[in-house]
Amino acid sequence: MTAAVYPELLLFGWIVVVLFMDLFTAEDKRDGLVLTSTALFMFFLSIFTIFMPAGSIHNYVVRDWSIPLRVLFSASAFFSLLLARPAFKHGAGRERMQEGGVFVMLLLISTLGMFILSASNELITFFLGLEMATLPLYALSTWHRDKTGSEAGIKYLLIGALSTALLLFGCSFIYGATGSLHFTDIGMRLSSAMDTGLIHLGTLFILAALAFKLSAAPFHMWAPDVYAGAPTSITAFIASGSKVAGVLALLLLFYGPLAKLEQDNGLDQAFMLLAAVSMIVGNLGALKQTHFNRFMAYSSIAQVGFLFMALSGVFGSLAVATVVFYLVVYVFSNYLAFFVMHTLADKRSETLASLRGLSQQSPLLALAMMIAMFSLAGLPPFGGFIGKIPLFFAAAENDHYFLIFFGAVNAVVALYYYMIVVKEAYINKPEGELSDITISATQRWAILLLVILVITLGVCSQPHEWVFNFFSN
Amino acid sequence: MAFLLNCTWILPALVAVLLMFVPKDNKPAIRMLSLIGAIVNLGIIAVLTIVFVNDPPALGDNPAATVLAFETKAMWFDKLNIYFHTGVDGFSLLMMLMASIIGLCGILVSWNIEDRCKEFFILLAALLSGTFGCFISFDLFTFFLFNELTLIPTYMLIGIFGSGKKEWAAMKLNLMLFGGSALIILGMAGMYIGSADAMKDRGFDLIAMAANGSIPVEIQMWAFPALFLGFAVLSSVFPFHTWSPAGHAAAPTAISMFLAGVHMKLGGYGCLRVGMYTMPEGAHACMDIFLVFATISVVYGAFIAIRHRDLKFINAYSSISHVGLVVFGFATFSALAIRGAIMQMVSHGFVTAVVFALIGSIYGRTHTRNVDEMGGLMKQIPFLSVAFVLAGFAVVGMPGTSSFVAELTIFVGSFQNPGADGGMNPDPLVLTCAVLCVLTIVTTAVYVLRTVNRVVNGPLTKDYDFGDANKIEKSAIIILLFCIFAMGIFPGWIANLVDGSLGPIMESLNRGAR
Repeated sequence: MTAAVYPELLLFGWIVVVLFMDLFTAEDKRDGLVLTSTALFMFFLSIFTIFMPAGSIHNYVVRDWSIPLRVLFSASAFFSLLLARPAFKHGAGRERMQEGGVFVMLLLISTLGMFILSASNELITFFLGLEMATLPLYALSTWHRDKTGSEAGIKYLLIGALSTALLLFGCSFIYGATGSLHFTDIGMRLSSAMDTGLIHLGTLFILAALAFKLSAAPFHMWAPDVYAGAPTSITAFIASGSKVAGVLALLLLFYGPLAKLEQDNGLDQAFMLLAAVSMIVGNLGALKQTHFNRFMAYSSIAQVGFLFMALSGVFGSLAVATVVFYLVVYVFSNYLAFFVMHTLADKRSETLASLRGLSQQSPLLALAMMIAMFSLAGLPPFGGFIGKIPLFFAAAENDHYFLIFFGAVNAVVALYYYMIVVKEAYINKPEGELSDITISATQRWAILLLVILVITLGVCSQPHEWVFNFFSN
Repeated sequence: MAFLLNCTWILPALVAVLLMFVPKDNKPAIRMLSLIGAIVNLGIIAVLTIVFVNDPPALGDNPAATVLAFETKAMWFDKLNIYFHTGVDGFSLLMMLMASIIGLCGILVSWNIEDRCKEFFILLAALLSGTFGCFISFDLFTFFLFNELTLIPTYMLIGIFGSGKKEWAAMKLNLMLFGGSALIILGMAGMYIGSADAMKDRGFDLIAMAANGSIPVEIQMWAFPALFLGFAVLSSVFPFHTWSPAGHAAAPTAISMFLAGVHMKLGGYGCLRVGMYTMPEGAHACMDIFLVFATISVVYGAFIAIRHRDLKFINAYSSISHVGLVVFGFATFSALAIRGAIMQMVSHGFVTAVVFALIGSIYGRTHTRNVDEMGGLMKQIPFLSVAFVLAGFAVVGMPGTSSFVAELTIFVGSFQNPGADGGMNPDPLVLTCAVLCVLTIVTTAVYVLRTVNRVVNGPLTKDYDFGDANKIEKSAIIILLFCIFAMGIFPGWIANLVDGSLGPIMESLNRGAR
């Protein structure tokens, strides 16, 4: 057996361990124990995954370029678990969450699904992995058993079911046209397939399904409500881990068997359309938001637009590598923002207005929020700069200069609303008495770790090189 | 020596980091630390200038390749061929010298800031760091990086420490400058793709692009206007000038000085060094429209300045007019005019800085910037008033001041522009614009003399009870006035510095004309 699948096996083993831990520990200690031990486990799993080689068992293929993404999955789970801890301890502003064991297990199953997705080499495993990654999230987003939580869950479930149906429908078309579910066979038979119309239709269905998962406009309607209703830890996971899984699914198909299709004109126009619409919808939607999680939802819609901009056209190695590197930056910047907000949300509402006066009250949190926002906006010296600017170069490789201009203008709009957040933290005066801020040791260290990561990604070339090396051939 | 050059941006960054650890109530320590940082920085640049003047680097084989002194070239993000490539030629060294003097004076005039003093000096140091990094970068990506790095501190400094509609102004300024950056990204993407066919050969090396003429003409045709327009926004050329009056008026004194004195010059620097130097064919094809816009800025800025009653607005529009002259000088393609334009960048940096410093000091005493509410200040604050008169002379361009030398060079040069046939007949469009620009001197005299007369002479409007400039204010103003007159009386060595670095740029531009 190849060492490449050890992370999956370890994760699966730990899920069983969590199951037993949940059964056999005293109720008052259960949540804390499960969350802490699992967070530690996921931390080591993230480090462990970095050093695992690529390899395959039959049809289960761990590609070398999926390794950075696999690291991101476990890192997302790690940070989400840290985010969830205060919610189980004392509620963090909302009702205290219950059933920590089940929560952790579902989160891990979702992560395992992403791992399986990353190694899929035929459409059935692909479908299985993607669904395994999303299904637990429907339940997790209702963990706050209130009205908004239920709304989030039901909305996510219905739209998710629709996208699943579209995905299956598309897969059946591909199967019908090529007579195979296997990626390699599909790739080979694509050029000789008689019915190209069927393939195009199937591809468009699959693209639409993945656009749902990625919350790319015009398939984004679920995102703001789900982001606002779900617990912050799960919101962050949907915005980061789940989004990375969506991009991974996209790359698996379009950087893999369907790569030849990209040369056709129709498909890159679909990508460009998704890019342009996502950017404009996300940016305009974010302008007027006051609730932080809704704000982040629109911001993430816009970010997906930038990813689609780089991917429109031939999936050259520059495009794919920059997209993967940008995902790394995006995940950490996103978590940084969510951590700061969640720390504040202990005693305040999760609105932008609760940031007021932060720079005087807690310079660390204000600085962290500023770094997160400027990194997401793509300003130096943070990771977002070296992550985002090459996305434009990738689009330039396909001569999509008008889209670049459109994207660059959108980056200006995006800078506006990210700066609104910074303005709230640094410039706006607070009204009335400010509630004091308590930062637990875990939160402090997590925030420091993320700050260091975001700055390191922007200044040091080693992570950049590491990611790009997977795509150099 | 190369490390010493990099110290110019490392040192302010280090000061910013050190300041974070100083307790915020220990204001004297915070001020001293920033001041020492700025003085050491000025010292470093002065030493480098002396070494450079005594031993200028010899020209290489390729006449269009700028030869850098104190060069550092290290691979940074190697998959995208992004180098950390720093060095200086005479042009950038001159800009550094100006920026460091204005930075030092900016710290001096901010001595009295009490509220959130620590954050102010941290942000100011970060701003200096970005600016110096920009002037020494010869890799387009790092140049752009440092350029963007100046945006964050500018926004915070105006938004937190400004006055009036500060949040609106800070946001407007930043969004417009970032809009310029968006155009620069577009141009950069074209240059990156155009620099070579294979991904592994592509890069951002400005000198290599210019020396080898590696960017295809069809890419230059749209990448040049995008890039040049992006930098023109930064140097507030009409019709993209609106950020500058709003920003200057709302910003605290030091930031007004730095924005008008250095930041707008960064745009001019980028126009010449990045735009025209690397894409000469594109420059020759598209320059007419920028020539017209620059001329409009010159004329329009001066006329609007007559109408305004707020001292900061007057100087902001005056800056638009004078920086428009820089872009006008570039757009003539005449070697003499470009030399003049570079000198104008330095000269206007000092002039506008001293005017903003004086406005800040006067405002600190009268608590109004409205010209109509002031009068007879000569009786009350003679030092500031005399300095204000001298600064006014410098704005008008009296002989003996630096602006006289610079503007005269631009005007003479613009009448000797090479024209379409390469030298025989000057371009009529350039000549028309040149005449309009020359006539603007009269308009400038109108607003300057009227303003100075109203503020300084006449009866006292109110019986103020305030003293003249304190020692710290005096020192900042004297340093800047000294620079203006020294440059006006001994322009020779600056012209020499510029000429050495202008050779490769003109070579590249002349190649583009053929």
